[in-house]
Amino acid sequence: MLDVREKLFTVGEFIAFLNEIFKAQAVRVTGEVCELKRAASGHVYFTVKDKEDKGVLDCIIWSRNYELCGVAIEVGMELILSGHPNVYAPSGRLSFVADTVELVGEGALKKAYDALKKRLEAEGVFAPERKRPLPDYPRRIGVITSMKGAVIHDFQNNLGKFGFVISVLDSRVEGQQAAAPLMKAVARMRREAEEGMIDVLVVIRGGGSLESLQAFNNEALVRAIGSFPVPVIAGIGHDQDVPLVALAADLMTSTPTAAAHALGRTWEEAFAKLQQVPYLLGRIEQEFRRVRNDLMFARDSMTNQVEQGIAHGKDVIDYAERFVRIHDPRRQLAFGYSIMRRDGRIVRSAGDVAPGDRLETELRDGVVRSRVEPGGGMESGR
Amino acid sequence: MSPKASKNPKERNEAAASESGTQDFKKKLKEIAGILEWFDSQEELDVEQALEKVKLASELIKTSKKRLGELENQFREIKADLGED
Repeated sequence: MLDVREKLFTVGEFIAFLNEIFKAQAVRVTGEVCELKRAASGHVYFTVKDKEDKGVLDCIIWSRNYELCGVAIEVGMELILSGHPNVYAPSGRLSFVADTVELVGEGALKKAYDALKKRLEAEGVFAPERKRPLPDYPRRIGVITSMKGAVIHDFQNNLGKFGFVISVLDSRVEGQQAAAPLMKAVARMRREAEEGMIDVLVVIRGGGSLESLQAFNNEALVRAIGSFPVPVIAGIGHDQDVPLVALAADLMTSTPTAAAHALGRTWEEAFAKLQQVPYLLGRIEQEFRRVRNDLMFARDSMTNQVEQGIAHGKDVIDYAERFVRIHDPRRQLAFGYSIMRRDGRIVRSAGDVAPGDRLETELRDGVVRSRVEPGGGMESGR
Repeated sequence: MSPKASKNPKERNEAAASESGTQDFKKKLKEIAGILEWFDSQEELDVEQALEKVKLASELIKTSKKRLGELENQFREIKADLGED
């Protein structure tokens, strides 16, 4: 290990050495803004002073962090700065490089919250028409939360066994300093969403005060959630003021547990419907049996009726045959009667014939041809 | 099957023939019944007419018996197709 007492530093080396040590010393400093300048580059240079002592501290916040911090610094504001000291080598001046800036006191935080909420509301960031429904049967879930604490376990324990594929990004969620890591996590999840690797994004944390939830009222984060490629569930506990990230999300739940239940809802409904399947199958089977019985009945009824019709037809024909046989005049021929015809017409009376007429007499077993003798005719009956 | 139900011309013709055959059979039975009624209604039988009626009735009975036989055979085939339970 380097023994600094032995080393002879150049000025530049010493300043670099100091800055290394300072960078490792992340601290939080509070003070009131007494001077302020925003450079063309977007970096903000300001001075804070102690209220109690007479100490002053020059500060810098780089433009990227300033845009992210969500605070519009003004002279007179009381701020909490998180960052580290730094010596600017060309001037040898010490200043404080602020990574994040937060307002001091609930009152100031509330005022900033209200103002931002009003502005975003007017833009339509929270409009109900923008809310997307959760997809049916979501499977791949992206989760942003802190792995420390009970929140992630509550969430996972309440998810239900529907084959979810969970992709968790651990992030700081406490205080204003959480804004940058949360933005980074959302950016990573955005890439996954754009590649179709997640169906829903879930952002969860436990309850907290306005100060504790500051990051979830950060404008950049709110906009990132509002424009996320897939539906977002925000399960962020809160006291009175709803975190703006929750208002911008597609679905807001009061707890991580409720977020888990929301994901499982369509799956639960599908499983409930599946439970009905055996009953429905039973009903269908019953219906098949009923139709089959109806068909059998129809078949038997039809065949019975046709059989009866055929039998009836046979009876009618048999009866007709017997009747005709009995009433056939030629039946009398067996008893010795005959049918006499003249010119094909039946002779009914002796007066119908005259001597010389040719006659045909039909007997039982044939026809006899004859001629009327002179003196035959009316007198032949004697 | 109604003659118009099938799109197959052969099936349509067969169905039409079957239907007119069925109508024919009914008509014949009706004619036979008419002849029997005539006999019943005669107080004094006219032999000449009776012979004509008998001749006609015999012919009707003969063809009806044949047709009934055909129908019975068709029915047996259909019943066999329908099968048992």
